[in-house]
Amino acid sequence: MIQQALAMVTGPIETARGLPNEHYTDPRVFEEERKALLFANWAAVGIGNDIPQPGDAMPVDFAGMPLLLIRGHDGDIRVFQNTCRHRGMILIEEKCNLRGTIRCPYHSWCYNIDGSLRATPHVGGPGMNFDQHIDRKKLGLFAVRSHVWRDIIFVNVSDRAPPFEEYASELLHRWKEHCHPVYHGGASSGFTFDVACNWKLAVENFCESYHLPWIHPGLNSYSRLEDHYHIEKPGRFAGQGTRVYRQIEGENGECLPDFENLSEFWNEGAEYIALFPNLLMGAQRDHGFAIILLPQGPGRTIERNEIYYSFDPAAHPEYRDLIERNAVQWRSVLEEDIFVIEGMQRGRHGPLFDGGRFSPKMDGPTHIFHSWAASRIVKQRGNGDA
Amino acid sequence: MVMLDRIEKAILAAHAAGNGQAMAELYAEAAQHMLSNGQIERGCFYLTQGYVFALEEGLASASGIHTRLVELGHEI
Ligand code: FES
Ligand SMILES: [Fe+2]
Repeated sequence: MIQQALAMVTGPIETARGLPNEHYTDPRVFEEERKALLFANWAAVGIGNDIPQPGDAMPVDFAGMPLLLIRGHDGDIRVFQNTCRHRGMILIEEKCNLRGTIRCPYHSWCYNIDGSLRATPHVGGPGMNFDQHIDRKKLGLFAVRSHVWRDIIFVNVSDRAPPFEEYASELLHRWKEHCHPVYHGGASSGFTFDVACNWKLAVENFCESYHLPWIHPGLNSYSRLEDHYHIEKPGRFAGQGTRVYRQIEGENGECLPDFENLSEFWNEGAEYIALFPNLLMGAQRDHGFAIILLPQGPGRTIERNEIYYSFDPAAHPEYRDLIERNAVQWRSVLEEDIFVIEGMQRGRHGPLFDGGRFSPKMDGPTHIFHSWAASRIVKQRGNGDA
Repeated sequence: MVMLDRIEKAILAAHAAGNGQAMAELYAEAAQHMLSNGQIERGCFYLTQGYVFALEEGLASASGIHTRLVELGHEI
């Protein structure tokens, strides 16, 4: 019955249905999707700018899995499970700078910044710090496979996805002109929404341009529906592009500097792509952004919005005003979407809803996302490790 | 003993204030007293406490404490 419903999702768009309600409301299906969609792939969990200095550490709740992001003294970013190897205590509760080792707050086992276990106080009895049965070499923190691209920190929890460069190869190729160093816009260029919806609804809404005239009428004045095109890479990513991107301008027509060496397309082109599972990105000539979706359960998502530039804002105070205005503008556009994604979540508590239908002309990208999700879940169920 | 009393009080105050550097120093100081009085087990306990906080704070003293613990056969 349920398998049949998923077969309806992966079918041709003309007759396909969307994912059934339980994919948005049922904690058991959330669990299943956590494994099949979030852990089995490369998911975004944070940004390098969260931990800019060597020794900086930040805990992240990734769909219930406690993670710890750390920047080492070598400048590299590493990700660990934020759980002590002794009795399973959470190691770090708040963002901090580690001066030395990570000390577990329970019995004070100490871990180096590279995750190795450094000290096991009193483990052999009071004042005796070793025990023949406790092999420190085997008790380092569990490392989680990670990768950084455009300042975004990705993890592959299952450790079975292909290397990131392969996983995202088509996108890396498509946006090869945008593979420059990026600089975070600063405090106001990062803002977070706590939304009452399943994380997938935020992906679905981001992928499509169908809603633009209704939800973002302000954009409609210069960015008409017909100026948009679909971006469709089955099994990998989906989104939309526009041919009439307009840069934000100051009073005297001044603009933010462009990324270097962009081809003509990007003069007025802009693209908005959801890299499955949980990262939404924008590329434009003068700035980019990343939206990281952190699922908090079937009906709640933390949405982190982060805006980036081609230059270091700290070194260019003359652009501060445009950076601030750009943040305000994006914030208001993204806020306009909240009532829809929350409304679709509530709508999915209607037991008569059957997953809905797709407009073959307008909903291609959304269907690609649904089809990807459904086929991953079917595959996992087939493997018997649901 | 009066001396240790003073250190014990200071240690409690440092714990309450979350002052890792002070804890590292005070525990090491207490350990020194005990070890010099021949109280090896008690001394190693305090040395261990001082070691942990020195590690957490990234203090240079950690390596000296480590060496001492190893010499006493209480650390590897
Ligand atoms: S749980 Fe971490 S040291 Fe015991
Ligand atoms: Fe929107």
